[in-house]
Amino acid sequence: VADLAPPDHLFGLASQDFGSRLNREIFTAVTDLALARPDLDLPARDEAIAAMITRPGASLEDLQAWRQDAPNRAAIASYAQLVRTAAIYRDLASCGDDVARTLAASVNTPDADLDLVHHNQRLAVALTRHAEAFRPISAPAPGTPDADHQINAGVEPLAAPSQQSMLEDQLLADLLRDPEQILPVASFLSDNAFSSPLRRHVYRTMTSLAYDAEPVDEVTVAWTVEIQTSQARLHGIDVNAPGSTPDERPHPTSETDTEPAPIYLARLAATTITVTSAVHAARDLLAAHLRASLPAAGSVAAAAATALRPSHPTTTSRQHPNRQEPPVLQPGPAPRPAHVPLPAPQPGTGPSTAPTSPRIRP
Amino acid sequence: MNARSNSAAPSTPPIVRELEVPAAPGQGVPLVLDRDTMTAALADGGAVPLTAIVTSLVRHRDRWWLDAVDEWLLITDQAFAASLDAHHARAH
Repeated sequence: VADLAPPDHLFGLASQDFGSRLNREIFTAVTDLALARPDLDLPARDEAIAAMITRPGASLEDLQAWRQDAPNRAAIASYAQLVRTAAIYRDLASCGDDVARTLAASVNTPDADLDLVHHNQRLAVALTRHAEAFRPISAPAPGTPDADHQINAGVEPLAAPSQQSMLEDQLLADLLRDPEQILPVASFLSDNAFSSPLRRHVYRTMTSLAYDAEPVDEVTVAWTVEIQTSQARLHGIDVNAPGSTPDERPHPTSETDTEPAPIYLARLAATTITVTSAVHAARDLLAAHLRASLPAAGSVAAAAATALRPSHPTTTSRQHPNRQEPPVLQPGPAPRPAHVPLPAPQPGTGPSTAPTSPRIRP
Repeated sequence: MNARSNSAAPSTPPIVRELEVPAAPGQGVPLVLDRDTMTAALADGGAVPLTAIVTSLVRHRDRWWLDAVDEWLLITDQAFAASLDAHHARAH
């Protein structure tokens, strides 16, 4: 709805790829009007779309909101790929039902090929497993008119987050806002510094997308997390279990994930950034992790982290646009100096959320 | 290639067998592939995932296969196979 002249390839999309009826109709209207009325400007086209679709959700105000809420128009090819992926898994679920019906009809056929019947039995079971594992992807997304439930992300932060989880949220929120920081941070911060499985997974996903030069925003990260989680679910693997990554030591996780990834990502996107930069937050997180995971060498970590702290205190607002180069800590054998305590965590590093709607639209 | 049998179904899961799938007469393809075989095919380019994201559906020997964790199952539903062909074409 923000593009007056969508490309001919339409990013490989077809209207049936959209799970939402409203989205299907809007896509059809936009593409039809691009061909039939290329002379229309955006306001005139909005009026034409609103006139074509009587379903709630396509008023002039709605279309304007869609344009404003688009997370990252430059990433539209990635979004299209995600939409197509959801369509594939919807087809897969439907196929599972078809195979089961065909199977039921063929079992009682006198000349049935029993080998094929047996194969289709197994295929039906496997398709069902896939459909169940990928249901979070193929079902209408929360917040859409076709969803079973609506989301209220961005309004209610998790109850009583710890100081560390607030710092982690600040770090991830700033990486989401400025993905150029991801690779510098990833050069010295491992995912095992995060205390919750979901945050570890989100951080790993951001890093992976950045390495692959893919767009990093709340949509691409949330979907990638969901897809990876679904694939792992299919194979009976807990990708978020402590020790699930090669360099990860079992981490004493006291929190359990209480949010689906899309809701958590929407909350991150609405978080007000209060740390100076993700690099600063990452350094503080690394220091905290070293203190927690290397108790015998805690004083070493504290000394190292203190040495890396800038001469001026970390501010609580974004006042320093120039970023520092990431520190490189090598926690290894070292003489044990006298204990040097880390300064207390800076106030105001916790997440605060703006009362805005999540920007995710499927 | 084995002859099809109308005898009673085996009590244990069948191993890889060469069977002709009715929808593709003349093209002998197994109904099941073991994981190692498909892993090798994916490695040497003989098998291609449906998309970069959807890797549990694979095109191999001109057929679609589904990842069933311990093995790969031939997609025998022709409507679904046609749908996968369409998705594959649009993704590339």
